[in-house]
Amino acid sequence: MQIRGLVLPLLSVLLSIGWTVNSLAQRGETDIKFRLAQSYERSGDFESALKLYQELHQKDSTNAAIAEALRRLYVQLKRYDEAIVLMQSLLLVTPNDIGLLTQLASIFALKSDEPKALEVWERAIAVDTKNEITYRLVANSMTQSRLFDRAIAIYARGRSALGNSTLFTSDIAYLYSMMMNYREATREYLNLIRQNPNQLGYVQSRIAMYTGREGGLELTTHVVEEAVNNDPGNVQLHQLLAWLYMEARHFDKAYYVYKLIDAKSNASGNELYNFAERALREKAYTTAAKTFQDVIQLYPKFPHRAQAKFGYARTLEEADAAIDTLKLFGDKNPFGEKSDEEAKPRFSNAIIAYDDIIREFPSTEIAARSLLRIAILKQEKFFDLDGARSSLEILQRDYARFPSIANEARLRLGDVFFILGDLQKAESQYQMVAGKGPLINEHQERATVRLAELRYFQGLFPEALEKLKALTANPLSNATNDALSLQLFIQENMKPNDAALREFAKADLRKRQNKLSEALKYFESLVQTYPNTDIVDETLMNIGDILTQMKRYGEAIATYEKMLKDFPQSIALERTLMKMGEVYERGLYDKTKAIGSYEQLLKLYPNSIYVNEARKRIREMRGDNI
Amino acid sequence: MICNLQFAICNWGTNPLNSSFNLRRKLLVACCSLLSAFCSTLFAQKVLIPMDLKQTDHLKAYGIAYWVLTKNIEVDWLLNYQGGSFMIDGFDIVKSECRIRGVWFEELSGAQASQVYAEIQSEDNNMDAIRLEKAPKIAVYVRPNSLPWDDAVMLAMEYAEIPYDRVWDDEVLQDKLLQYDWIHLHHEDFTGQYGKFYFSFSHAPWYIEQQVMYEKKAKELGFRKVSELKRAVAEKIKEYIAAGGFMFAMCSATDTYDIALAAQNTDICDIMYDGDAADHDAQKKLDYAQCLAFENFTLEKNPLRYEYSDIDIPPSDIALALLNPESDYFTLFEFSAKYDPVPTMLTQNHANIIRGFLGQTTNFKKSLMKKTLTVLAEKEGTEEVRYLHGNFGRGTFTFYGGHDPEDYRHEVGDPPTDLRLHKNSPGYRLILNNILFPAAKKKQQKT
Repeated sequence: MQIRGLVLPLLSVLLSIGWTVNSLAQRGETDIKFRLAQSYERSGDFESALKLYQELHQKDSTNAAIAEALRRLYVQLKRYDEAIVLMQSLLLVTPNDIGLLTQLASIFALKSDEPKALEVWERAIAVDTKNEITYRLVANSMTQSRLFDRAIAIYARGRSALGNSTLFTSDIAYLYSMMMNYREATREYLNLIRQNPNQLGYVQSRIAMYTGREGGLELTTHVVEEAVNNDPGNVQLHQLLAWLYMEARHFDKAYYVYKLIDAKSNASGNELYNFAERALREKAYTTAAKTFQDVIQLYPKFPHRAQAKFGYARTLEEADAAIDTLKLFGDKNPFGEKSDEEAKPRFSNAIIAYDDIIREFPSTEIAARSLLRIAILKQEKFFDLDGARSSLEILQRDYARFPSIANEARLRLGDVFFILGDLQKAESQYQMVAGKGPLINEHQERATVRLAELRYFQGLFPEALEKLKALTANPLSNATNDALSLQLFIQENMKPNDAALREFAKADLRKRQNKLSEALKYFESLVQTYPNTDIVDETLMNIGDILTQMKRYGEAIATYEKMLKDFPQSIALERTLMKMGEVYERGLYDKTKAIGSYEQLLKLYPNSIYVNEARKRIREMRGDNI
Repeated sequence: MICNLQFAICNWGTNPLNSSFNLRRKLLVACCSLLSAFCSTLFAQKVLIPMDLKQTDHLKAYGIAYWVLTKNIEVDWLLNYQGGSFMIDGFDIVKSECRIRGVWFEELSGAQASQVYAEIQSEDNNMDAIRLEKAPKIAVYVRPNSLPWDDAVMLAMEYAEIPYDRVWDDEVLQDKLLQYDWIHLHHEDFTGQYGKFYFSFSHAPWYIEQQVMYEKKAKELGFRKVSELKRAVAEKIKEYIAAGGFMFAMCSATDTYDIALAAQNTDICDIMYDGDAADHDAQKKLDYAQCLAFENFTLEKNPLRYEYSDIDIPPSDIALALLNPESDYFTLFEFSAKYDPVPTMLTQNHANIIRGFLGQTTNFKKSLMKKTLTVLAEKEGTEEVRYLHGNFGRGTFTFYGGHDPEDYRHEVGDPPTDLRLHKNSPGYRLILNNILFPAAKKKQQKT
């Protein structure tokens, strides 16, 4: 009895140990086979991997890892029917597993059986129609099957079923943009902004991905305009619209939007000021001027008022700056404006604007900069030398604590004295800037060039050359080119004597002083008096240039032609041909003759520095599509 | 003194057919030369556009030759004479246009021109003159809205001002290629794997957009997958070549083209490219007989690796580590101008050692090339072929490895190459040789 009583528990313990050992052994074998199958799969031996997975699945059809591996392999080997059977068998156990259902649907899609796939996706949705995750899983599965339009429809259904029109906004927008449906994508992104205004930056970055595409910017702008009209109180929508206008360089439209933004966001002019600065940088002068003016007038206590006013004045000034890159006729472009009178009112406004700054912010650096600009405008645009002189003298007197501006003023004042014919005073100004020590800054170098030029105009050629020596030694200086060309000109024309050069310098002085008629007489007299000197070709060119500046284009052309004919060896001929082309093109508006001159330049001087410009102009006039 | 060479494309090759043909041909050439010399050039002034180191803008010179042809003026391409120069009747408009475009030229008297032709025709000189008669009509197979700056051929044509049309899948499948003499394949991946950029760029907007656009196009044209559409396009292009067309491909458009043709009976695209797995037996199912240029190649099965097969050498993803830009050069072969005019035309240059440049497909492995092909340039002492040419049916094809001859390593998003800075590029010249080559007069050879 006692033994029997012991045997039974012992037996049961032994059986239990045996079962456990067996079970552990089986599990160990399963693990080994599973790992082996995985390594087959990794090495690309899918058939061997499949056999093992099938065997393991047969033994344990409830193991999710094995089932998943088997599904993966079936799909990999395109054995879609077997994959479907597998998924269906799994679904028998858990019929409402949305993950399994979406996988099954994807396999039908892979098999190109879209109706079946849709049926299964519908089953998945039916499992839990009130859950956001359901729609997300189904739509993701459809997206993976690259059925983007269906995925969008599912998201939309989800919104409606859950009664939340803001759900899935980012997902839907992204899908629309992928499908290049920019209109709908933008609408969704606008929803995102409405939900969360802080998303403006994100939305802008997403929209930027398609505004560069064909039609993308126009479509997007149209949609945002509609949105702004329907919701005029939404500042972020206005900001987005302004950004789109600026992308399209419609600064005029952006201006109105920024006015609204500034008002609605209580920015007190900050938004407008930043916009004006950008418009100025982008050379949208009209808009920039208007915006700066708004800031000044609407926000009298704007913290950067001085800068806004200076920005306004600069805008007025720069709007008129016609750039002549070749500078064939010096700093003054004889074709830039139809008449100086046309440009004057704009420059006058700029002067008024600068004056205003000086009055409101006296003794400041910005006032000094404004005064300098006034002096420059008076000197260069109005030829009001007394006015320029007066401004520059005030600068010297009242603003000496801004050395860079003061030095610039001195140089300019020297120039004014020079043009007024007071060479002594001019020299004194230049000398003050140049100093007596080594040349260490640009102002000093420019002043030294001016001093050398003064010596040249006075006929003191050796002294001029001496001054130039210091400048030509420094190849990095901006003044070196001017110095070198004057040095070369003097050296070449001093021999055998400097009589002709002296006469030339006198004429050149008048030309520089803008006394064109006088200069013309001097140059013409030089041609008569010294017809056989080397300087005659340069003289003829100067005559042609003066005639061009006097807008006597026909006579200018005749002079240039005489030069071509009489001085075929002159080094100035290529420049002369270029000038002829420009007079024909921009003065006489004769395209045929202009092209002829440029062609002649290409033919005779194929290595000239002007060939690229000549080619470009010919092609522009021909209307070539280059 | 033009030999007025009458040749048939199908007879062009590296080997003369037989010696009696050669003898007859030489006699014909000599007679023609004398007659032409007397009649056409003795009194006429000529414009010679040298293509050696004297030339100021080699690339625009090709544009001039093309422009002259559009004016119904014939051009003689003087093979191996001063770097493959052009001789044109001395019309003023030709001279003027050369000047405007910045192309160097010399004016020759009739007698001087005769001397040049005599020198060319001399049996002692490996030179010949090929008459170009008609400006070839050019098409570029490129997706709509793509910019020209990412393709060396389009860049070269834009710079040289050679007009071209863009064609895409619709036009190719509608047999519109037959309207063109020459087609260039933009950097297309004919395997349907979107350049195998998945690993690096699958999240980039341009990649996503491209994939969607391609899928849309495939569906629109009745194809289930992009790879199937691209294969159909490759086959249409093959038909175009067989019918006498000229095809030129660079970079990955070369090997992917052949891979697509070989993969007729299988699926080589993995799930991220066409939505389902690749056929794991794809390698075995390749049909090399369908290929134009390559055979026995092995596919790169890793979908994340930036390489298609072992045709490309060195493989794209390790090329930079293996190659040194300073010592990476390839050499042009020299052919007999009088007997092998086609390869001679294609290799005209002022340099015969040319700086290498990388591409998704940089060089072709010689051992995987079909034996009928002509190697035009290779990296000496290696298996790396850079430039090859072959015939198919009545047409020809030329493959040129690498992406941009003046940008050693051109990457996605890099700025475009400014050819104004590379007017004398020998690498770009090879591209432009191909464009003029179809302008040569085609006629049955008198044998």
